[in-house]
Amino acid sequence: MARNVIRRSNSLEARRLTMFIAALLVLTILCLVFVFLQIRSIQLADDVKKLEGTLQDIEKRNSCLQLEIERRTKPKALADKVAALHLDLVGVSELQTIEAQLPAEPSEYRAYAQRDVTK
Amino acid sequence: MRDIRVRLTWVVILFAIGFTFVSTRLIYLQLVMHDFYLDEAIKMHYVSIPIPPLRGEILDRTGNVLARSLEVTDLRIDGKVAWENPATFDRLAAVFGMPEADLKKIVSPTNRYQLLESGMSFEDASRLRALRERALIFVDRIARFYPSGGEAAHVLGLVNTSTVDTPLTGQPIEFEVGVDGVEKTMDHYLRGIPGERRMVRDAGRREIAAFRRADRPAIDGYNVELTIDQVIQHIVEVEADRLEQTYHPNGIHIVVTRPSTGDILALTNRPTFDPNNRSTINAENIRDGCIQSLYEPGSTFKLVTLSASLNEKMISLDTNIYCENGRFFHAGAWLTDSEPMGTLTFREVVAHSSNIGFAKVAMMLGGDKVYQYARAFGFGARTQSTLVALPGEERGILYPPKKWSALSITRVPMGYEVMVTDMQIAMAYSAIANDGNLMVPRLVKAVTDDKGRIIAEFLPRVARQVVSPETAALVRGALEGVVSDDGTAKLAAVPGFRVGGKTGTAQRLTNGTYDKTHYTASFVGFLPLEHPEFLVSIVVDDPKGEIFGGKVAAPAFHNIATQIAAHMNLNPAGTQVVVADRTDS
Repeated sequence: MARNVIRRSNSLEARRLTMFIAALLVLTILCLVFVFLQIRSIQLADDVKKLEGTLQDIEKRNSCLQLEIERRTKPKALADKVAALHLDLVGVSELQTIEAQLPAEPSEYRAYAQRDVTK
Repeated sequence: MRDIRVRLTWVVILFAIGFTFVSTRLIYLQLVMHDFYLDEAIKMHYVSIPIPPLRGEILDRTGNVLARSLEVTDLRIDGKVAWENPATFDRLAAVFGMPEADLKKIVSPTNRYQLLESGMSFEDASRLRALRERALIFVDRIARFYPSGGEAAHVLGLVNTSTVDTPLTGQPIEFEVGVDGVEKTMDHYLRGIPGERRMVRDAGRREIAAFRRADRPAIDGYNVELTIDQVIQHIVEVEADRLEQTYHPNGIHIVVTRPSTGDILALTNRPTFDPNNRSTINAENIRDGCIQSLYEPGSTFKLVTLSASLNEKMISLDTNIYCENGRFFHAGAWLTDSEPMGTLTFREVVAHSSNIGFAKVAMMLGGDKVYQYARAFGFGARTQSTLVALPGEERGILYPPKKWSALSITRVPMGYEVMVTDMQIAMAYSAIANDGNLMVPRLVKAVTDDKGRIIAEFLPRVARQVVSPETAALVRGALEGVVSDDGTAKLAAVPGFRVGGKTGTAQRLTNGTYDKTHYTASFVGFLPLEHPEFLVSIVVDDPKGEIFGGKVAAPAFHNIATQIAAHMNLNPAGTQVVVADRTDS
């Protein structure tokens, strides 16, 4: 077979070549997209992990502060604070109580309530 | 040419041997050792980490936290690394606010895991972590905190950290396990269920989050809601401290209950401990004396004879009883009163707490009836029949009449030859305050999850009807006389309220004989008399300086009851209580 014939028969058509390159391009793009998505998912998972860590830290800080609030609002802590402030408050058990003799009838009670307290 | 061929042959042979060796090794690794190395790789890269649950909280009746678990950090130092970089000490000394020389004294160059500070808060640990010091080692762990300190210590109990295998993965995990108090009895609710994270790690042992295989979060423990009121508990604790400082007793036991439900509003003992500080705990103070310490109650036990005689309609409160002018000879022994008394009505016998009067009533009743009513009031048996209880409760001692001596019929009614706990006395008087219904003491109200949904609820339970409501009302009326000006407990009176109660002063049995220098002083009282909202039972074991229940325990009742009444906003029907300023007087 003549060399020119061989060359002609071995040559690729321009259309087929274009299609081949296009297919190759698409495959390459798909591969790149796949790799990009994989990397992105790894990055996102890392971000999620960091957020988990941050959330945990916030929860821990929150628990710490809640415990501190509990500590400071306990009756004992409040009583100690009042004692430290020297407010000289009278203890409930030391309070004097006076039984007021109130009228039993509602009408009498109204009159009692409206009495002139300045006298 | 021949020489080249030989050389080539040798090269080929050497390559062949080399390839054979490599191939053999590969075959060995890939086929023979395949499973082993696969396992090793899986172990290295695929790990399963148990996630510890957070132990549930213990709350008071209004939702205030009494016990909570929190992640804390133990700070350790690698002495070798620190001494290799002396500048480390300079930096750490500045952070800890101590001289560098002192820090160097503490840190041993040979100890690579030396504890510097235990239980650091998250905030403090974060500040130190930010320094990125190579010598510092941070070890996170979960710790239990009791924000009220030592208050209600015997109710709450303790936890220990122990390593147990997780149910699903079988891996060991550190758990807080309740060893005493509510922490122990409610442990199965509080403990929680561990979670599990299966993940893939890189060569640096860091997790590759994208390849996380499973993430099952831990289920935190449920919260346990108690019947304890933290304000009432504090009131009681302050009074217990005052009693301890004034009378230096061997022990103090105080129980506050709500008679209508059997709720325990407060419970304290002296000596006590601080569960936050393990060094304060010893075998003596860890005992919950309210349920574990037995004592001869003395006159507070007269409730049994009083209730039985009225319930059996054998006598009335107005029946006259001759009290033998303070000395009564029976079964070969003298029975005496604290003061000579002649003929008294039964109401006066109660008010003056006449031993002779009660002995005579008991003799009329007979030993069987006294025993029967004592059992009905819960003496000689544990008060708590459910699992929701405090551990280690004592039954007390109450012998059946067939084991009594001839003297017993005069001794048992006045609270000798029997041993009781403070809780038994509190519940028996609560029955009288609750129209004759003996309640099962309730310490746990409910178990809830973190969203407040009820998982389990423990409702008030009536154990039995001991006496009729009419008898209970009569007994309450008689007990009011005890707190009157003529009674033994006038110091227990609370202005503005009708109060019922009974004092007890019992000699302590020492080495088989009754010791006239050591006594148990007690008082149990409730208010308002018409519809008792709370009851306080106080036992002071061997007070110094003063021995009478009416002098030692009754004033303590006054102090506690006044404050609880104010806290509960109690206001007796038909009266208006006006609180006057101190400057008015």
